[in-house]
Amino acid sequence: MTTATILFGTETGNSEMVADEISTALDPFGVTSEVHSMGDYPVDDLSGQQLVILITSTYGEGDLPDTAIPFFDALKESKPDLSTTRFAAFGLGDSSYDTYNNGIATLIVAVTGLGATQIGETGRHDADSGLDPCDIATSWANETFAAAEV
Amino acid sequence: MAESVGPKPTVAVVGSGPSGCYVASFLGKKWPGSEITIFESMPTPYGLVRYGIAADHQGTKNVTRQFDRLFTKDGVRFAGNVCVGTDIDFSDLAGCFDIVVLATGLPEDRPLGIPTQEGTRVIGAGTLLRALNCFPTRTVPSDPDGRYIPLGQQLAVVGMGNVALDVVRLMSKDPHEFEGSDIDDELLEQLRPRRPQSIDVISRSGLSLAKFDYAMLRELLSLPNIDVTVLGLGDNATGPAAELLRTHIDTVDDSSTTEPERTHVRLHFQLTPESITTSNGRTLLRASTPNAAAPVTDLVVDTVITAIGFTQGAEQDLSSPTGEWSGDNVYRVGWLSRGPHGAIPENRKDARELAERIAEDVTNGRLEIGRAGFAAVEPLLRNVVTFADWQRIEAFEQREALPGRCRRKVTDRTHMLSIATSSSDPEHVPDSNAVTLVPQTADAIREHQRTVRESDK
Repeated sequence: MTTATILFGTETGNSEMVADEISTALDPFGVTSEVHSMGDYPVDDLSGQQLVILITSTYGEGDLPDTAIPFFDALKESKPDLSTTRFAAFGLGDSSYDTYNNGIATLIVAVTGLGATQIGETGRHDADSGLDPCDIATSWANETFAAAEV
Repeated sequence: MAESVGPKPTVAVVGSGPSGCYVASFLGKKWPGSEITIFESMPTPYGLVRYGIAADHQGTKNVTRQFDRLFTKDGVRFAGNVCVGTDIDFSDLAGCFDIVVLATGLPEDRPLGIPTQEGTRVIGAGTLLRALNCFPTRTVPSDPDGRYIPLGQQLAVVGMGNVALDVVRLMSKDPHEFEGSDIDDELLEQLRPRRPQSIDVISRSGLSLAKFDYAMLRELLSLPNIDVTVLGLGDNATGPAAELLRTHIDTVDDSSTTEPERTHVRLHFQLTPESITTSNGRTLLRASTPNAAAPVTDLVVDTVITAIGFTQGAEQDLSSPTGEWSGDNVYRVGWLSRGPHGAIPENRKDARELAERIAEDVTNGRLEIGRAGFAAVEPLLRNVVTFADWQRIEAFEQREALPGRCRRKVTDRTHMLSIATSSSDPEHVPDSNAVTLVPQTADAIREHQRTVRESDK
């Protein structure tokens, strides 16, 4: 049984909704998961995790949401060893801004720099598309985890 | 995940805008299985998300996907078409629920508060945005034939927050640039048969205190059909917005040099409105400047649009909470409690803090729980629109969308109610002809909308 830690960064709650949805979508793959706000998660716990799923939106000028900023700063500060951690990533953005999905890209660079290995492609929801982020996230989770040895 | 133990208070939230929905969401997470009802005076949910956020910002409006889940998955009840204050007394509501959260927002445009001569053309930005968002009660001026009176070729917008920039952007876009939106095309065409020649936007403060978000400014500056001139920025302005605006300083301030089909947007900083009077049938906005050599600027325009925030409903508006709407179990959230500041993220934060506070009040026994909740008020209510009823309205609006639009909102309240109650079978497609004759061509649709709106009055 694999356990995944799902971490979301959000300002409007959309990423939290997507995190809950992905948690449900992982059940059929035999993956149990815990959902946490990045704002409440101690980064030092990351190095012990087999599988982490990062979900975040993008705000302002391509910035991370408020709740993800302390998480990002703590990663930079305490530099946990993530060489045995695999992660998947899903971003929420709006392609009418040219900073589309910068937030998730920022986090991917940060955790990859600490040795983590990404599985699957980065999922992206475009608010401008009018599609339901939960539908997009569920399809993404199905593709990512069907292909991955979890 | 579900905690079956713990308190299960009955909760009434008044207002289904973002603040009300967020409070319901946070309280539902605290107390799974508790009874939460959101009362809404309109037959349609989501308040400012539906009627305030600009029609071309569908990405922001998408937050409704999250709120939909409250009603479809998380067991929150939607009681639409129920106006607390007219359909049910506030005191009855407060007596029947353990917890009442007022989330009614601030419905009115804050007035300028400067001497304004009668007969001048001044309208509030909130009124304009609501109208372009298909709000059923139209308060934009119309002629005796029911056609909306064009705003004119020269506009002034007072205020430089995000709402002001919404107005400038909506007035500066051609119809094809509203692809994917749900703007009221017919109303836009009547109010603004063509894009204005000029829009003067007036900020009392300098740039450092201007209230717009940088992303909103960038979006405005990227519009293809406008030329922007910046006045009164000052040499000391710094920061990314100043960098962006600096290239627009000292561009020739003369609209005659602008190509006729373009819209000249002039952003004035440090200009304080002093009075509005008529001048040869037009509207003269006099403003003062900090510049001793030229202390007064006169702008002669067709219409002044005020975008300086929002305020409580008028005294005669019985749905507007008064000081008497209070008690040990009554809370206020969002703009109603904090004033008209902050967008959706700030209101979510505020709702979360309030939910924490309410939960503490229950945990430490300050609030007694055990009132019956919705069952106690249900006999008092008539024609309640449920969430399933609303979904019928929503499906109708999506089906009726004109090419290039995501939906065509129903602008007549009676029509909304007849769709809502057309069938309790979700598979059944409401027969629009049974409701009112719905025409098939765009022209016929316009004619039809016009007739329907006349009946609103």
